[in-house]
Amino acid sequence: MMSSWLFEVAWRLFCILGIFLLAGELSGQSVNADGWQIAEPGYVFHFPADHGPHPGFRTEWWYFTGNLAAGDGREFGFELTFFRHGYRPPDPVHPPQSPFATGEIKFAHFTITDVNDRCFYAYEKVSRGALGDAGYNRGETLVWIEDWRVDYYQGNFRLRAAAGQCAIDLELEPQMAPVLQGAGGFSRKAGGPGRASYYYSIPILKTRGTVHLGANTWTVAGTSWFDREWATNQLEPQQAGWNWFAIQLNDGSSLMLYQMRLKDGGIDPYSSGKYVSREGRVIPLARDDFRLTPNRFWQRDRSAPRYPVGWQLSIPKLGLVLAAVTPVDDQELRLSSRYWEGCIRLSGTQAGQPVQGTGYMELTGYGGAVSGLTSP
Amino acid sequence: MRLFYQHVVRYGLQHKLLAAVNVLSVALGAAVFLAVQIVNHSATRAFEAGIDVVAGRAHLEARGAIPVQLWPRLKNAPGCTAATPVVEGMLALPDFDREYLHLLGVDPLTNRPFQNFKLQAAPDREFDAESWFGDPGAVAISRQFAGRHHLRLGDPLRVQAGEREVSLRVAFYLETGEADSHFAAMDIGWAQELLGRPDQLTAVLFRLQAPQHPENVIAALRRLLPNDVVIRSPEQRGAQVAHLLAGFQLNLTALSLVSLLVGVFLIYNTITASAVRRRAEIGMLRAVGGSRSFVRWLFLGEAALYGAAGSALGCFLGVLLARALVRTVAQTISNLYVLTSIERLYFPGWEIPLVLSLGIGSALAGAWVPAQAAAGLPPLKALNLQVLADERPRPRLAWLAVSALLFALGLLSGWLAFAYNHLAGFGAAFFTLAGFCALSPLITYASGHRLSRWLRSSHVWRLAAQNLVRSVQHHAVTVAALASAVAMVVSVSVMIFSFRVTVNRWIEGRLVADIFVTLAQNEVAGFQGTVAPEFLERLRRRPEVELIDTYRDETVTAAGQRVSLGVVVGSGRSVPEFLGGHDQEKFARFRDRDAVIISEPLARRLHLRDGDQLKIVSPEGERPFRIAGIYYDYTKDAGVILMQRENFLRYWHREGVHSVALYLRPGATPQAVINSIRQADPSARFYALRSNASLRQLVSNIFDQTFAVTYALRLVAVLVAVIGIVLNLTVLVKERERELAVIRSLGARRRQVLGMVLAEAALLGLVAVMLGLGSGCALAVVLTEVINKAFFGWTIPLQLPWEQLALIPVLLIPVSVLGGLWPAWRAANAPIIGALRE
Repeated sequence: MMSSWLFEVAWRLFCILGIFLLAGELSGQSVNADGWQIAEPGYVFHFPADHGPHPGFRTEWWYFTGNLAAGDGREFGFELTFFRHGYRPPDPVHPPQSPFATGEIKFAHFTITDVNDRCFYAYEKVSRGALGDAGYNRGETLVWIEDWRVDYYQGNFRLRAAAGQCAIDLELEPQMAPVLQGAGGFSRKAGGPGRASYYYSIPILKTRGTVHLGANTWTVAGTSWFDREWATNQLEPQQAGWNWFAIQLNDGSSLMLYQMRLKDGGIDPYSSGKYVSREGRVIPLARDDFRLTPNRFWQRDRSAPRYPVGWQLSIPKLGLVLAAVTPVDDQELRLSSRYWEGCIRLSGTQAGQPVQGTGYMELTGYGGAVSGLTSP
Repeated sequence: MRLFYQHVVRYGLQHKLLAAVNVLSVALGAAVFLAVQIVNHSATRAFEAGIDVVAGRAHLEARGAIPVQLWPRLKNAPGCTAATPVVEGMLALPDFDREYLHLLGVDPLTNRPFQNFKLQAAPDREFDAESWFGDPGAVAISRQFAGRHHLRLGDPLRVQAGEREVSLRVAFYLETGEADSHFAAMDIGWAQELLGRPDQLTAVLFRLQAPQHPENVIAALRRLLPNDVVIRSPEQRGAQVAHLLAGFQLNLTALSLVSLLVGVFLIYNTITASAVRRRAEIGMLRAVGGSRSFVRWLFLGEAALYGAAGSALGCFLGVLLARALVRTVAQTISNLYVLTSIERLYFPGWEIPLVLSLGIGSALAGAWVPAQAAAGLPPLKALNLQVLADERPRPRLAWLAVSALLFALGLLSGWLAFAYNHLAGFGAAFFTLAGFCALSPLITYASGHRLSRWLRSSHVWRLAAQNLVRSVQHHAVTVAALASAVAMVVSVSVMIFSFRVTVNRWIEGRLVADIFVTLAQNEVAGFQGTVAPEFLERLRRRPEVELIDTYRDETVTAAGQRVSLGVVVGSGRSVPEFLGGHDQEKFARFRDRDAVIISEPLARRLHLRDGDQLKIVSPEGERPFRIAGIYYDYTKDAGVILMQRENFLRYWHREGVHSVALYLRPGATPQAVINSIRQADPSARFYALRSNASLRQLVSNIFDQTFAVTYALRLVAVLVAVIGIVLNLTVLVKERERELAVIRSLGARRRQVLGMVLAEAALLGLVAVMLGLGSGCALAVVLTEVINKAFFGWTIPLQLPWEQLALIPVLLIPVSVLGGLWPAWRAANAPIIGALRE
């Protein structure tokens, strides 16, 4: 029972994620028929206030991924993501008395990829947040579920999570101001009114800390990516899933690319991306500005989803050609929802010069028909 | 084998009716026994299934008023691998008469390791988080419940919880397997809101790392939880209820065995008759070399065949009877013990061999003596056709000694019942009944003698009375059978009547207020909701109201047992009657600090006396309370503790009251006040307002429901006994065909023969009824003084229902005459020549 609804929740979130990565325009702020706030153009972001929650919106997430290396050459990938999904808008006039009565569910995914041993560990926590079990903005803690937490102080983030034989304790130092995705952070998902999200990223965070795996502890350093998004939205029935890339290149530039797949096999016209040069110049990428071609597939077994884990990526506008490979094929999260999210390595050329990079790739919607996609 | 076939099967086929009657008598006994077993078993299973739904997969459950703030610490208790919170409550349904829902507030995020139910949101979907979390009115109900009330997914469902009336939405079907269809589920948060208990959990369930060694976890939880929260395994809770029901179920089983006992007597009769009729056959068999044991086995085989056929039929009838009984039993259990709804009948497989062996065993037991007698007959004697009549018409006085011995055993068992084991109480009942049955030969003989002298003016009656003497060994058994049935009817009637008189007197003493008020839902689902303080205050301020008493129902642990605690604010108008008198004095002491009074059943159960200390667990820990008195009470056989509100509040700090009793000023009429409250106060629609008379009527109805099963079983015993009369007279007529033919040939008219047999039936009925009345009264003493006290701890002064008792001969003697009608008709119409030639 749990798995199916969680899957549904996660799926909706991912769908919305995909849908949000579309170009937007401006208007005022208002509320939909169910009482949820909707994203409208013209929103003015305030940091660090907007790192905190936006409970008037239906969904929201804090998305950290990164590639780390230890002094002994050992490499790791990690993901720590907190989600908020609302079922009922907050009622400030008659708030429920019961601490268990909640209009929203919080959940989080935590993964570690042990590149050298080619092992992948994935964990999940779900909470209604009763009696301090999970929540937001408690002192320095931005968001937490039990002992998984993100602290924010003095402009840095600290991530802590432990599950099974894995644990991380990482300090993340942003190397740039948040990059507003879409049009000034307003990311349109489809043609209708309010079908958009507020979306920003911090593409490069210098990361150091420790990774525990079994009895071993490594002191690590590397680069992380932070994605923040909140919205109230409805799903598009024709969307099947998406391929998402967050890439940090060794020349100091970063690239976010997003491709929404349609059920008929086509690519949604709202697919898009954003390139940020070493100097901080932001170049929006429309659907026609880039081409993604899968060249290698991986399948856990015959009945499992078949994921395109190797890609050829070209952006003629930037003179950029990249090959994306993964050091570990099996980075599939088989939790309440099933998707592939893992670290990747990139190599290629930009304007004839060799370029390399690391990043994270997310592949969803390969698990066959998904319930909830077409429901309101 | 061929001989067996000829002896038994062919004989049976030739005497189809006789065989059928025999089979039926065993069948009825077996059916009643089986039905009671099925119903008992189903009741226990229904309750266990209920526990299973809530806590089936938990290793431990903490149950009680658990402050919600403790949850974060409870879920992380050391040694626990999983924990989930639960809120339970009862909802009344204003749109469906006397219906309720047992609402489970559950947390799907943590209850997965515990979950023993499934949800269905749509034909193709199990769960819909959108509804479950997002709609405070989304409720899951069972398909059976939905079917019963024509509800479908999406339909609104009005419920009442306390003074709150809310329209819920049927959002899911709840599949609970075998459990009660009254279970409903919703999200724990919205359930807390609905029940008005946002700060409380009713249970927390745990799974443990080491389920075999829960001691450390229990100790850790004990330190976290209020003292009056009970921590134990769900099985232990089930065992407690099973223990509670055991006495009640055993009583039903014992009653059902009486029918089987009556069947034993009938088989005795049949086999005796069969042996007598076939003396010549036996003689021949023996003469050609058949051994004694072969003869014995022939007759025992015959009985076994009846037993087998009867119990097989009994299995079938038993299931039908169980269907008929199940509702009443469920009602009784709900009235006396726990709210139960038995919706499925369980027919445990092992019951079939049990019923078969009981049926066959009782048939063999009944046949043993006549089979032994037939086997012991010397061949020559058996072949001598002249020795047809009974040899020893005068029964041995040894029966007297047997009877005396049985009575002595009865007394001994009665003593044992109090001193050692309650079960011995049934021994006392059995030996008393057996003692009277042993008197049956002597009494039948003596009555026959006496009657033949008194009735000498009429040939027909005189002959009938003389037949009683001549066939005393046959008749004695019939008399014993009928008398046993009558004894059961009489004893149960006397007991119920005595109980009723006692309860009525108790009602007179205790239910003295003019109006009683409780939440309407409490009348259906037990004391769950409390009276709103505002409503109570408005009642208090009414000009017609002079005084108010309040009552709160709690369950506490006292002396290690779960016991009901009644918290009262007494005006002093309703003073209970105490054991040993001095009512006012004891009631005054009841108001002392840390004093309680306890009901008689509890005192017996826990061996407590006036002045003793009773340790009761409060949220603050175990507290000693002084017993100011032991009072007569008939509400709960597990017993009740009464405590003054000040004493309760000192340690429990719980304010609400479950019911209120209003005393009106002189001149105010209860019904007028009730009407006025209903008109003036919009909250009144959530409450049941009962006048004194109406509450008494309700108590009386509950009383009748409680004994409904007993009434039903009583009827079956009588039915079996009446079959016995038909059987017995059929056999006798058959046996005396020749004699009757002689009488006819001497000039007796058919009418006279008919009259003679009917007169015999009437006399038989008379003697049996008299013996039954005597033994029934003795049995009633055993039931009230031994079994009731030993099992339930109730003092019930014996009261004789003269009218009912007088009705017994008036009804049963004509019934036995009716039973003789067919044999009499056959006797009167038997061809004379054929009979004489035989």
